[in-house]
Amino acid sequence: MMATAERPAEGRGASNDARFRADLVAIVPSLRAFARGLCGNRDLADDLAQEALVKAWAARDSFTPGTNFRAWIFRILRNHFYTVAVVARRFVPYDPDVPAHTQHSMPTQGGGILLADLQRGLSTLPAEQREALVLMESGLQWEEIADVMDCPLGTVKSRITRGRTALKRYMDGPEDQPSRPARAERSDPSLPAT
Amino acid sequence: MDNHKRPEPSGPELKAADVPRGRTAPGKADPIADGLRRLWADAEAEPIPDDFLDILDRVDAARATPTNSQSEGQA
Repeated sequence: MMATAERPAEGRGASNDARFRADLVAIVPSLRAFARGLCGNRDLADDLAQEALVKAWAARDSFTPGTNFRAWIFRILRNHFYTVAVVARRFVPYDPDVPAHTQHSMPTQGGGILLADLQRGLSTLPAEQREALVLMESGLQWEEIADVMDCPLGTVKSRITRGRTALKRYMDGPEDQPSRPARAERSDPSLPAT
Repeated sequence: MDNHKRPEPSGPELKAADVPRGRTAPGKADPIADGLRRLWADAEAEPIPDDFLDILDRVDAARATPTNSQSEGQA
């Protein structure tokens, strides 16, 4: 929000572009993470992230230095995601290879879960709930999350609550099936059977 | 005796449902929040393809290229 009036207008362009581009480079990891959380597919996520970068670069003059750059570009990405999902109607299911790359041996004591199961669970959620849950880990504050999602803060929290409930229901599995040992055997043979 | 007196909180008490970024109450395990945090961190930590940002250069190059329509119209 700091004014840049002390800098001559004719000298601002190149230096601002360089600074903006540096900000773009720095945000790429988070942008990819957000995109991955939205669509669950590595290739599509990178396409979304790159498109967001292009849009942000094209709209850099509309960004006010000193304001929340992360929220600004996240909003660009999520808007593009929903445009692609609605117009193309080509929501790609979660990449089955992705869990293999991100799988970690979460502790099995105290209610540990497998990341692969969590990713599959995320894919079953409505996009808005998934988006809210993912943004919780983005470093944004509540009001910023609401700004990115273009909805009231109460709606954000409601989506998070419903998303977490649905995720927990998915992770717990059907009551009549011993889901945890079956998942462990199917997803990671190195995990001890419980 | 004040041996068991709690220290004054420095700010509003944080509740698990009121803070993002998985900042749950101390001592309260949240496997889902931990898993979501891990998914985000893993995706952030993935190496960025070398040509990932080249698209910006291509956009600038495309904009810098003069259009041919005007030159073609001049016979």
